[in-house]
Amino acid sequence: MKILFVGGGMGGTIAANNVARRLSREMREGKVEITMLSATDQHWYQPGLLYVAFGKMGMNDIVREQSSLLEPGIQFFVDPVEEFELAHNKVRTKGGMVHDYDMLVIATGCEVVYDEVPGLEEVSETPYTRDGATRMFKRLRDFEGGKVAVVVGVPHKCPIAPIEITFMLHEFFEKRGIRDKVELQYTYPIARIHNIENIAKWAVPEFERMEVDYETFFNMKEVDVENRIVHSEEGTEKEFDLLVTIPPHRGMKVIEENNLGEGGWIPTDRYSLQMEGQDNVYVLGDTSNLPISKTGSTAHFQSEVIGENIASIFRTGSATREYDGKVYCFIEADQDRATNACFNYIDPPEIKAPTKSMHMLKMSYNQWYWSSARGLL
Amino acid sequence: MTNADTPASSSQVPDLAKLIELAAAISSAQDAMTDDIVTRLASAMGEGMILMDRLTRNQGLMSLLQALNQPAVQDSLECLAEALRSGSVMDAVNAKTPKTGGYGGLLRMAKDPDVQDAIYTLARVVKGMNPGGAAKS
Repeated sequence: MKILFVGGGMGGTIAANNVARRLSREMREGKVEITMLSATDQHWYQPGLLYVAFGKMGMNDIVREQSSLLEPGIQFFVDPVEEFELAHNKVRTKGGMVHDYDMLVIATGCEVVYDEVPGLEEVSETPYTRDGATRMFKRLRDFEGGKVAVVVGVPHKCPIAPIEITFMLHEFFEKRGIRDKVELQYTYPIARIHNIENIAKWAVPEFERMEVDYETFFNMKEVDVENRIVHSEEGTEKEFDLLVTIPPHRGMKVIEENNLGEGGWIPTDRYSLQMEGQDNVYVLGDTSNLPISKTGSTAHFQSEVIGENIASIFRTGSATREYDGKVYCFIEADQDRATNACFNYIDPPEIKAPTKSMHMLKMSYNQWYWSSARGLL
Repeated sequence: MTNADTPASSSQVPDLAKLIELAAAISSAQDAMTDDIVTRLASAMGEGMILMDRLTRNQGLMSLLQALNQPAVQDSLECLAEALRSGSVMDAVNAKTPKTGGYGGLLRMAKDPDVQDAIYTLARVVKGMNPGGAAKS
């Protein structure tokens, strides 16, 4: 059986390692062949960028060689896919290679797009890109006070990020002794301050304690770069001296160009994680069109389901598990305390009081991620 | 209300005191921890887990460990350790020039029963590495 993984980010890597662990004997015997195609030879721990933006981690801490994370026997090529020929179980790569498969896992992820909001890229800071995270830290370090606006585009990776970034901004300025010179303003596109109701309920008193102003129903329309004002679709505006953004995201262009899904999001069965109409194609993490959180833990939990099902299909001819929508997010509440949100398709999250232990667990997980990527944790 | 009905009976007081002591110790350890310490410890644990995972899933290494567990092999390892400890092996390794050289020296060394034993052992190991060799010997 030939199993092909397209995309070597968090989801693709964990899933490929998961399958390789389950089918290691069959791989040695030559019965199973696992191949991964990726656009880069580097693997970035993307949640670490938030810590880079606040000076808590360095870039070197959050990157590893992709090949060093893969199980022995997985064939790895830095050669991104350009054409999907699902009807013929083949893909063609940028380098001109053709790879055929029996099972395909698409985990190409998503990327930030600024073009939907004119002026946003020119004037805003973001922890969502490598350059952006480094630049944001320098801006925060040199900032001497004024109006700071947090604006959120949708859809975006990491559902908790808008609130978490606001907490961390409060903490950062407080630590620098300039919090009283900073007017911190938070905006959110829907009617409450977070799309998950229980998180919104929990965060409101936290914002009030931190003296963070907030405005809901604020969908970015454009940014007046010269006058430093961000306008909303709803007709309101925010003046700023420092604009921090969670930019809108879109699925990768290659998905859209191959007509696999509008906006780069592939229609996916919410339980089996199979691409709609394609029994031998699985879709993983941010690449799917499922209305659930685009976060590393989603990709992680989905990887386990896909790994088990591919191994089961190879051995018994049928899948055994379904994805229940599980998502787990740490929430850094301030410098020393954190809490978490755990939810699935049925049960909403219950937010507990932040503790130091949970903060230490999050700091630890930032290091344990590499064990996770290898399919160990 | 009897003693048994009270939230903590007198016999439970020492247990509660221990729990409070333990909680205080954990709280104190937490206070002493910085993000740097947590990061270093977690990194060491993470890399340790990866190393253990790789070692325990390496079938060749696990077979070697099983072989090393045999009494005869353990005796040989002890002899090797003793030889290293006594300095005789390291003296020979560190010697800039052999005490004697040429064919004569080689022949004298080859007559040494210990050297013959060593060559025989090495030969058996090499033969055993050849597929089917171990079965024929």
